[in-house]
Amino acid sequence: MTRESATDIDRAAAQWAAKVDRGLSRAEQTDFDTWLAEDVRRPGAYGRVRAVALHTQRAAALGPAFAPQDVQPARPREGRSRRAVLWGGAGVAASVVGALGWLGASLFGRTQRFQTRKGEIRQIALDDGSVITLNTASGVAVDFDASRRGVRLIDGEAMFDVAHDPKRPFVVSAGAALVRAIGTSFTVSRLADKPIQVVVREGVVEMSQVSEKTVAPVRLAANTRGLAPLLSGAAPIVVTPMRTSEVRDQLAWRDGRIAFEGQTLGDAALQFGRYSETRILIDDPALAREEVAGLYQADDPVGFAQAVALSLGARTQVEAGAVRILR
Amino acid sequence: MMADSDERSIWLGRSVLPHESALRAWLQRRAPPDLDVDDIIQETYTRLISIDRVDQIKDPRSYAFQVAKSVIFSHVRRGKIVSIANVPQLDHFEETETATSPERTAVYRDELVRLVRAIAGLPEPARSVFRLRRVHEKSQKEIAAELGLSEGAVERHMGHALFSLRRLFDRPAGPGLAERESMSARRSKGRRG
Repeated sequence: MTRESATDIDRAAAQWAAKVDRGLSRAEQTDFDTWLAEDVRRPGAYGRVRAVALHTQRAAALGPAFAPQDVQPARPREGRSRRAVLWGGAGVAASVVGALGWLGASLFGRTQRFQTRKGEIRQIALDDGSVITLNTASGVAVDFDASRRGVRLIDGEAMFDVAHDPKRPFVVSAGAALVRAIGTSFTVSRLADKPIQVVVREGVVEMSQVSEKTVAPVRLAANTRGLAPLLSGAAPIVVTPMRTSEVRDQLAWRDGRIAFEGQTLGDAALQFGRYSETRILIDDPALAREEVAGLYQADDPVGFAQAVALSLGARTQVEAGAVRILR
Repeated sequence: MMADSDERSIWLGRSVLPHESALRAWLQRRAPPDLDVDDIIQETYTRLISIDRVDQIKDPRSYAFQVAKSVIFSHVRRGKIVSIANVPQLDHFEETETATSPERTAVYRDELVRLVRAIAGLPEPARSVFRLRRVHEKSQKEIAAELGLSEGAVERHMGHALFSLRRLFDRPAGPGLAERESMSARRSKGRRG
């Protein structure tokens, strides 16, 4: 018998990963278990390709306007386009400016940092009358001077209720994105594997990307969402209108709650992971794809799991540091 | 045994895959010639999936190297390789510095750049299938309807895309400046005229 090559196994494992990605039938599950058991290398090949499959979920951070046909899978040493220079240089330039700005601000002791722990929500009243509400596990650095009210969102999510001052614009930087406001109310989130999101509740803000100096900023009115790719310049900013109820749901965290309206149970479990150390585990992929709705206490993942299990005809099992939802 | 597989796969993706190129390079130099590096890697992952708990593993990189080493030794014991003399200096593998947190951001960015290029390099329609699945987070069923393909075809293209991307982490995850510089977009070429 000829021994199956590692490449053949990888190819078969990738096809199984694609099947698992859409959900296995019971018969397929049996075939899959048999396939896995037949060679000691197969579970490893599958686990690895599944890891790649899950790891590539971070592509969502590129934002809805990402168009791969616009990117050349360029060979090294080929002609460099202007955009290539921008991509290579922008990050460096931005970090240099960032570092200088940071150093300057630190030298004069003007920068203040605020950080929340997991599960904590905190309000910060600023000198100019503006208020920052920091969501769970989030951090900001506040750096005001005579001409500009600067805030850097280091991580997480924050809401900004900006006091009106046309002489000193309020500028929030979140990674590759900049948001400029005069007097409004909006949130900015900078979360792992997601595009940078701005949601405007009142007034108008301008959103731009640090590397795209020649591109005019995008104007966002109340009840709109702007999404910028996490990788500056990888795609244009996308603006979509939102219903008032959606905006309200997006802000439920200010009252220590999380709102769902048709998200999958898997996504909901990840959301709770932002607020609590108690993890929600769902082994059954079909169960993880069920949709959930409602308003829940962000600090009570067990209560959420029990309520959802009841509505889906599933059950829960509380373990150390986790709650498991199963059929 | 495959219970918790997704959670374990997420751990593999975050903690082990970024070190696979280093592990592979080390195996290329050190593994006995009658053992295939790809086989060792696959068997290493099999063991990493099979262990009960990973949350107490402080240094996944060293751990993965240890496991790979034990895979080689188990082949030695089973007499699958000719002689133990073929296993030189297996005891000390190079341990380089572990990433600190500011570097992790750069690595993350680098991985994203690499992912962008890898997606761009996929042939159609695998590229569209993968983009809709991963960037737009649509289901395979929705993608089939949108692209006018059968669900079976979407699944095969998704499988093909995953097979092509399985080597995404094989190259060393360095600062990647040259790589970033070589990245280009037709959009700007158009603009340049």
